[in-house]
Amino acid sequence: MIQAQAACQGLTILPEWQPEVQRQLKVAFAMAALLDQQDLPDEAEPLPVFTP
Amino acid sequence: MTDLCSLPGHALADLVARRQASVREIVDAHLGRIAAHDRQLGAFTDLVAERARARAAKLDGERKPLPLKGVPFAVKNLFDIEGLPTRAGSKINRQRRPAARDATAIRRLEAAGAVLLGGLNMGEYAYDFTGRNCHDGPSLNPRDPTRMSGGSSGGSGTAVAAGFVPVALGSDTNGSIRVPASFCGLFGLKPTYGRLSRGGSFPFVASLDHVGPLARSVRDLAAIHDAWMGVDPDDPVVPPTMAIPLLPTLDQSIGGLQMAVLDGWFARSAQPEALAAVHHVAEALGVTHRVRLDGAEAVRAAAYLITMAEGAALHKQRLRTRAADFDPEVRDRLLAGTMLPASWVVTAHKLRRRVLEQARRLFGNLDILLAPATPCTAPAADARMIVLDGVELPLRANIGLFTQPISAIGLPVVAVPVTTVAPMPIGVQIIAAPGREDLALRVARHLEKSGAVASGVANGYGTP
Repeated sequence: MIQAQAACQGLTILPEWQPEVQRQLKVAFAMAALLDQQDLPDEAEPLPVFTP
Repeated sequence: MTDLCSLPGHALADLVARRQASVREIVDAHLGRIAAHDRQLGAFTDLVAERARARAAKLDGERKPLPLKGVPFAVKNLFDIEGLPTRAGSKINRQRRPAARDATAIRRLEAAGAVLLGGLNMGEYAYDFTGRNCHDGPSLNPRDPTRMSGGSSGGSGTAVAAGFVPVALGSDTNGSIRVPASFCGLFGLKPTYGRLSRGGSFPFVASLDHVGPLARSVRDLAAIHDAWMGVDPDDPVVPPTMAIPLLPTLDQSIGGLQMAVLDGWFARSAQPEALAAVHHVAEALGVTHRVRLDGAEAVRAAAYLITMAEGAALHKQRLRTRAADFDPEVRDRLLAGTMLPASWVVTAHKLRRRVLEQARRLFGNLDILLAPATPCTAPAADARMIVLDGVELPLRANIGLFTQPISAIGLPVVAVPVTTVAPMPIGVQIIAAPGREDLALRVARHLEKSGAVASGVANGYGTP
């Protein structure tokens, strides 16, 4: 997957970089699993408002 | 006269106003300290000594009173400094054209009488919590130079704790002001998202990038904020409404403010000194109430993914053409970030709103929330792993456990330094509702006045 994605995007990932890229993606998948547990309604808006 | 480098910025401005010191004397004292000690600590990457001395001479020749007159400061090297390429901690950016003018923050602080001394070391492209930089070397912790400064505003933490400047500017996307403030024993202000202009600074994650000051006194945080605030055409997220200055209310009583300690996520995965620091501050404030911020862990994950994706998008062309010139610790995370499904990022932004609404519900009954700033005191400068709850975890990804959920939802925070629970200092976050920096600063000032928290120039290196 990593090499296919890299090729599609014009990126070069040297063999010695791949293990760390893979490790980072595993962390990202674990983070995304936490998001999947959230029951967001269809109406959920993406943009926060920061006014008092 | 007291050592000028040990004084906070407001005390230096007072000396100048009372004609008990010249701006030139103050600038020379700080430049001398930098020359004597920075080789050991790695705070500065770009000194602008000639510019600073010229500015000092001009200020000494003017009678006009200015609020920050004679206060030396320095900036994380992602802020534009006229005539220098804005390196943002990278090798690649130093080949950029020199900045045509100073960042908004520098222009506003200098208009108030402050004097820029230079640009400060930082983690590459701000994707860092350690202060390590493979191009410029690490910024080290003046309270113990075998330990890290924290990052990514590492040079900012080092410079203020070492007495090279009384105040420094940093940026905070996931904790990069609050982490070095915690590790170096300083006060740090991460304002509400959009409150202070990022104009003329090199971006990282536009949705999460904040900017603010680090200092050894709460009054200095407020003074810098007040000089810096205001709408700016160079930063579209600064709201058009007038921000409220913080100095006039700084010493008001905190009686009547409702406060609570954040429980749940913020009470797990921390080393004992982090929890002891929160307990110490809570006790000093008489706070016993505990509350949970629902969704804290998930919104921290949201910030993590948004950072990977937006950071990768920002740097994609550089990753295509100059990947080998990145710091390897940064490059591989950015490369991974190019591969995240877009749906994750959209969901992550929706979750930010939901958790902000949760926080608003808490602030319906409360004014202030307390939480640890970091899960540990400053680790060894070369540390790669940390043990939390008995599990060994990668250090770099976990230093921001407690800062990320708060910046993800844009809340204002003052990090305050606790020095009595461990041999090294550690920070506590004083968190307020959006736009209520004034309350967080008032509580921090109360703690400072009572002696419950304290900063000062480090004596862990050389001859102070």
